[in-house]
Amino acid sequence: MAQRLDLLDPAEVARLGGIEIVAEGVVEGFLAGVHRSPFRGFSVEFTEHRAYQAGDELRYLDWRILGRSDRLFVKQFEEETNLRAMILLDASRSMAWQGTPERLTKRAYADRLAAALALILLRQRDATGLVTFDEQVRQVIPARVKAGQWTRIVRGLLDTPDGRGTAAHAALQRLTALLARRGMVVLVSDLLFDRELALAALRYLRHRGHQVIVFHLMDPAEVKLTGPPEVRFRDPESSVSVVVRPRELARAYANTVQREIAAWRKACRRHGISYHHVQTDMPFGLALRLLT
Amino acid sequence: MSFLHPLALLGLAAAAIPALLHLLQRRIPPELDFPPVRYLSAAERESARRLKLRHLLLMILRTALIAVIVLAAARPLIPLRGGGAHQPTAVVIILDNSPSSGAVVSAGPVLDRLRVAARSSLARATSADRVWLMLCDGVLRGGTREALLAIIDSTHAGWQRLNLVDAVGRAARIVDAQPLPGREVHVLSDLQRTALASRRSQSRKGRRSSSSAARPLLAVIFHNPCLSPFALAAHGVTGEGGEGGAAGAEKSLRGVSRRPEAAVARCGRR
Repeated sequence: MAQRLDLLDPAEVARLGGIEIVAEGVVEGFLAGVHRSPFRGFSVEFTEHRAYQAGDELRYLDWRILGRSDRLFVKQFEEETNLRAMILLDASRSMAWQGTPERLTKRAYADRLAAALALILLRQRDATGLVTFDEQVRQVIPARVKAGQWTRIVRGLLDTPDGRGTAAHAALQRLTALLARRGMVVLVSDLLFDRELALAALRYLRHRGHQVIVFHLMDPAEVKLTGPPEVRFRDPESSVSVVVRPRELARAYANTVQREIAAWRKACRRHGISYHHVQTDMPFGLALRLLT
Repeated sequence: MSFLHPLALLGLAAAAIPALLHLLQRRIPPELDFPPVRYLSAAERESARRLKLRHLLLMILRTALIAVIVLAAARPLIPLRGGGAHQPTAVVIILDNSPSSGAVVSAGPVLDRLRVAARSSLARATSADRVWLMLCDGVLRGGTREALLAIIDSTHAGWQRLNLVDAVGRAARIVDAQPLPGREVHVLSDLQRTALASRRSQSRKGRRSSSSAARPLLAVIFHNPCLSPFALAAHGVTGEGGEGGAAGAEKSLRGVSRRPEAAVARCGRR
């Protein structure tokens, strides 16, 4: 019996190939275990054209194309698209970090998770788009359901380099203007930015009627502090550094992290935002299952 | 309090090592990227006071540990009785007035110093104590403190050899038989080799040994039930070499204890 890739160790799965292969494998496994669509949407819009076939309703014929090119095309409509989803991927420098070389970086994990999520959504004919950001909005791939959209999303992920700092709240505020129509917004980030400012932007999205889902990515080494007896830890984004003895500070640090996670969860719940804490050693299938 | 090895106290300077290491330590820790430094900073702020106190206590503990080791190496002599009230005690004072105690050392007979020590032992006795005095004739003398003081004052260097091992054994049996909570045997002796040798070895080589020059020795043996069952402490002033002296006393007198493995002996050269 073939193993389900969605339940394997992410680092092991990532060795099988590029993002496409991994995402497809994960989605195959994931959908095999899901009996109904995990998403419910409500957006309505035109999706794409296709050649007329005998039996198609004439009301869907695109008269403009017929007039211009004398060819018969029908419009595919919102009936086949029940959700408009936008994946917001944090590409800041802090995401390009891994606790040990054996694990994926947070960014690599986020790329594969986003690609798998996009594939699931597109397979059920949901319009899906991608926005990558760090201090600025780096890539915007509008939500579409037409063929080749997933390839565009994957290319968008690959074309986004690791950023520098994270002023995510600024980027999120700019994104709110881009997401004019109501839909689902999935934020994949390590949330290492000002919580209140970021929540303000997410709250605004929620206020605009979006369904907002937050994936809080953390490397296991960020949850449990380990290291040499004495070490200078440096923030790759701000270059702020602090000298600590991990053994002495481990318990206080673990408490602080748990408090931070709890604070995010509580704040998100208060504003009707789905919050999911995901560690980069969690199989992709389990992370995706959090959405069901 | 005095020390048997006061020079070892120079080692107390080592107690400054932890503080010096702390002040002089200039290690450059390895630098690692760690994105959630903001959590670290928060955790550090929260536990700063606790960590500071912990470091301080750790340094004090390390310093104290070195100081204790050095003090132990200096072998402190702490009087077990501070002169104040103590529990009722059965005391046997063995005053060695054998011929060697008549030797003149440092402008005075050894016996005079032994008498002073015996008076000091008697001075600490209270009316609740029971005190006996044993001289080299082996006779156990009881009575009031004043009567025993008079005997001590009138004691002269005798002609008999004191068999210290037998004397301590008898004294231990006497104090053990008493229903008092405290039991002590004070041995005031010059610790001649002849006093410590067994009868058989004494008969073989006693003559050679007894010819050695008198060496001023002072031994005090405490039979303290708190250090059950027989705690032995000998504070010795020894001469050079031979089976005598503090080391010999320790070796010989250990046999007096009914449970030698429980005996504690402190002997040293001055």
